[in-house]
Amino acid sequence: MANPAIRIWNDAGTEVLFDSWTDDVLFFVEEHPVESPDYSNRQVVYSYPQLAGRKIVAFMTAPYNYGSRRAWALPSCRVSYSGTTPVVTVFLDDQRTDLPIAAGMLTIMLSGVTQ
Amino acid sequence: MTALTRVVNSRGHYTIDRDRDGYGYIGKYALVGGISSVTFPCQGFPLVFFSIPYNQPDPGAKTVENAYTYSEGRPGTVLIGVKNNGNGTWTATAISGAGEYLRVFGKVSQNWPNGSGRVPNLKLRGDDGTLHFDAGLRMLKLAGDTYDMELVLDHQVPGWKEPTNKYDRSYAVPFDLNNKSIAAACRCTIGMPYDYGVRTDWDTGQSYTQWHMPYYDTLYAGSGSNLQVKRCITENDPDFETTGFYNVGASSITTYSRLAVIDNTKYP
Repeated sequence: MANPAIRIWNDAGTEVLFDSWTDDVLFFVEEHPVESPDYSNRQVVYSYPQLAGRKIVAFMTAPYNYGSRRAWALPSCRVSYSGTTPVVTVFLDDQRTDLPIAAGMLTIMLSGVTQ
Repeated sequence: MTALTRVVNSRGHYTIDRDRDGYGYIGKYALVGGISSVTFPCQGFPLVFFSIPYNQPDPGAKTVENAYTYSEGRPGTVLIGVKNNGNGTWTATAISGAGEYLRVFGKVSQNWPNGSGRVPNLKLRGDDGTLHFDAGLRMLKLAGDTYDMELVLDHQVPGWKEPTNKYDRSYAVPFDLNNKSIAAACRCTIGMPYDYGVRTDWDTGQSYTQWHMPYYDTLYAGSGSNLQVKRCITENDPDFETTGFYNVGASSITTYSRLAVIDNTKYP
């Protein structure tokens, strides 16, 4: 074991549950409910200067049940880097004005990897 | 003074960080197939991964006008919603074949504030005493660096004589997708009525235009090391009343998503 790893085994010693040298992990940063009945010309931008130089991840999850899904839209989220500052932009791609529902739960996570 | 603050892996990722919350494995929940829901406990917002079918034949070259069933027989899975029930439980709804699973992860600090109970054990707490890592849990770890990949879920203009696989996309990932689960967004579900032709009401003798309303969705499947993103129709209202309906124009919405993948065998 040449690498500086923390390796966690199960009780029987038959499985590595966690290996800090080989595993890739995501850490929680923050989450935002995104909701707007009228999403016209609206962009929401979240900036993370405290995570400068690192890569982040953003997921959008729909908050609907199936019966309420007719004619909804899930906002997109895209990750970019302004200089070294991670930025998440939440939007609908063509900024429609006639969508009755546009909502989601935005989860921001950190991989820690260098940009 | 704390010696251990952060551990970095061979690719520069943080793998342990005593100042940041990791996610622990809450459990897996079977999907019965079709459009189905499962309810599970989780404090705080869960991360939900869904298993995807692997190397299954796809008959999906029907045209939209002939596709009336939820999936058109196309193999695939997608998580379409995670709803807070407000009592420490959540209900997740998915489209899938039978035998697929949702795998749920929750934040360590909220779901195991006192730790897993397993001893001997390695626990890491932040300066405020909040637990962030517990080796007694199956902590979330990914199958590679796919989180850095952006998926494009094309808008779905329902030309109803088009084959349903017209908007399929495929993304190469750096490993085989057999026995994997993914986290990725679903496409926005926007219906667009199409003119099904002039019909006659036999009671009144009046002619009218019959509209159909298909609702489009997304399916994910694995083929070797390619992640396939497909279109499907989850329902088709065959006699849609267009009065008062907003008009979704030809330029509908493209949805962007990140991808994360886990190995099912690590989360039994």
